[in-house]
Amino acid sequence: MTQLPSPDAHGLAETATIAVPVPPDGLTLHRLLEHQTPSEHDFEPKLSRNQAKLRGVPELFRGSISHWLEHAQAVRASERSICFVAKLELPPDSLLRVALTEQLGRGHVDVWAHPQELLGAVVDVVRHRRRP
Amino acid sequence: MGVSAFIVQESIHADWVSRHETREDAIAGIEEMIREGLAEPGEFNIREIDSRGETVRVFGVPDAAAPAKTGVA
Repeated sequence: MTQLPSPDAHGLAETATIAVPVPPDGLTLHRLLEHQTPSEHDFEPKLSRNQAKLRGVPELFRGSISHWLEHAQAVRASERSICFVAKLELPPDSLLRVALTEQLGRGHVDVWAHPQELLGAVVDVVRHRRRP
Repeated sequence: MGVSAFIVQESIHADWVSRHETREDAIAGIEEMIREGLAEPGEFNIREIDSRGETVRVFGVPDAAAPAKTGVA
């Protein structure tokens, strides 16, 4: 059960975004990595301001990256035959901000944070091989 | 969550780019980015979600989206 507020529960449009600090008890999220060993690169937003504009990404989300509430949700978001999923335990007392953005899929969470902070929150990486 | 949708996302980390109502619109979005030099073939794929928001499948755009590789001098 997520502790993050959803737009629907607050009578807002599904496309509304409610960005909040990490809840007092912390928050566990999952993020797809490029390799088994996580790096800052895995947590770095990639788009410049102009790239975001040209690709139709709202400025708000140019600096956020995708995470998932559950490991299985992250795995299903990957097309790769072998994917790597990091488990992050986010602390409450940080500059991190998170928003449940489930119009992009159940359990999808946008995260705004310094890449070093996210890298430091990784507690495990699971290698997942997709069955043919 | 309402209706099914097609999410254009970056292939490795699944960072989202846009949400579309149809598969064709999502493919067209990627093809346009490739045509305009904003993306490389394979850089993005499409995640289909059902009306409950669950991921149904993830697929790449057809090879036809890639620039033609002709040997014309």
